[in-house]
Amino acid sequence: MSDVACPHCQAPNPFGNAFCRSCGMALPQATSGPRIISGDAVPQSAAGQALVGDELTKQMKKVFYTLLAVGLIQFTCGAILLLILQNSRARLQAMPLLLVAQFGVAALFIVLSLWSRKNPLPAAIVGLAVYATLVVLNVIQATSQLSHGGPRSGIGGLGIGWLDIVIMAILAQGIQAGIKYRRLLEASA
Amino acid sequence: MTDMHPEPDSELTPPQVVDDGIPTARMACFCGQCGAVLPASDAVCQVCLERTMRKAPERTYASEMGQIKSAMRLYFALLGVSAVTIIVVLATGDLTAEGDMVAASAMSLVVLLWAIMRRDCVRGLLLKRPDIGWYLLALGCPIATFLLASASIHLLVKYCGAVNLEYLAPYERGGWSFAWPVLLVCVQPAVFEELAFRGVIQGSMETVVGPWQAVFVSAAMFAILHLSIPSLPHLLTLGLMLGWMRMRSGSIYPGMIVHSLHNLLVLFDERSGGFIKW
Repeated sequence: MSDVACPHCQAPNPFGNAFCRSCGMALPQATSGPRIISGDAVPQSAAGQALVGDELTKQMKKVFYTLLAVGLIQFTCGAILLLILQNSRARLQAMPLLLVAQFGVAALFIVLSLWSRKNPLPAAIVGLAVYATLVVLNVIQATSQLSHGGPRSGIGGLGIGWLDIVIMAILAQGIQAGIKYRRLLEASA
Repeated sequence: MTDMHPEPDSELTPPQVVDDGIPTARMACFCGQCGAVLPASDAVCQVCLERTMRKAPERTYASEMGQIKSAMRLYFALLGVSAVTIIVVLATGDLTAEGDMVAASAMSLVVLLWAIMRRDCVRGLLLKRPDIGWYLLALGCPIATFLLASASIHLLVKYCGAVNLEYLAPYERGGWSFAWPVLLVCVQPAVFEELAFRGVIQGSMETVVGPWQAVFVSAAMFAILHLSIPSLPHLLTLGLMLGWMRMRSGSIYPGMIVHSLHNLLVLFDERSGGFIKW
């Protein structure tokens, strides 16, 4: 970065100094042109904080919508399962438990989405852990199917869909945004 | 990411000149950050240095992200061990005592590795000696958690078609002594799961999300890691209770006692064919 000349004694000073190294007088603060800050730095000015805050709020809203969408998808799957169960003559013994689990997961994600409006960071962490566990359960089921000569499902026959990857990526991004937002709140407090 | 130049820092007030003589331009010896007089132009400013020393170690985005990543990686490593165990059991068609022992050893090894890497989280918890009251509470709590577990599993088995889990059966089929399931079902999970969930995970989380939220996050992870739907209600309650005990007592020993006694009651319940006839 180029030097800044002191308006009192004309001595050159490194950019960013508050006082002149030569005469000790206060240096004017640069007001023209944007300053590039590193990705994890917290802006100090009100304008910078508002700018970054808007971006982070947008990312955290994405977490809310993602958790809500997962909850609604699980709820719809539960409803379809319930319809199949009611219309099926041969009722499987474990079906009620499957329904309880399906609606339980749906309810959990909807509660998490509501929690994420108040506390986005822990909600995104729990959401990612629960969703990843569901994906692992799918992998276990797909692997078991494969070992018993069943059909291949998901990417590479592992039972993982592209939507699963997108949902986990959004939740991981939400965790990053949650930390940045918390630091921003602390800095502006 | 861009930002306008910050306002001048209010802390940057020039201190009083302590030097006798008035500095001249020839001397060129003021600190550029705080304006204090320096003995030489290349000298380190003592005022700024002291300010830096007084500051608490700064929490950065990278350090907070590191805490969360460490906790999540441990969770995923344990989930991986559980998943591999289940895949092997499904492929072979039976869980043997040897298989259970290998899975328990793998889990212990993973937790031990993390506890060593994250000794900053677990050291204080292991060194802290809690009040005797916490131990008395730890002796009473397992009765409540066992009753809850027994009732919720009974309801799910009776009305939802859940299958009752068997912990003792693989050891009985293999003709192993009762001491083995006590060690591998009661003591080992109590010690290592407490180290993992209440030690590393809760410890990492509470620096980032606050104590109560950390209790909930670690309890949720603890409950879902067991990959057992019928156990979810009582495991979540047990996790919340253990997290609260660790948060309030500052130690994981009472939690280890509650956890091992709870598992012991479950084991004795299975051995006796059910304490409570619901």
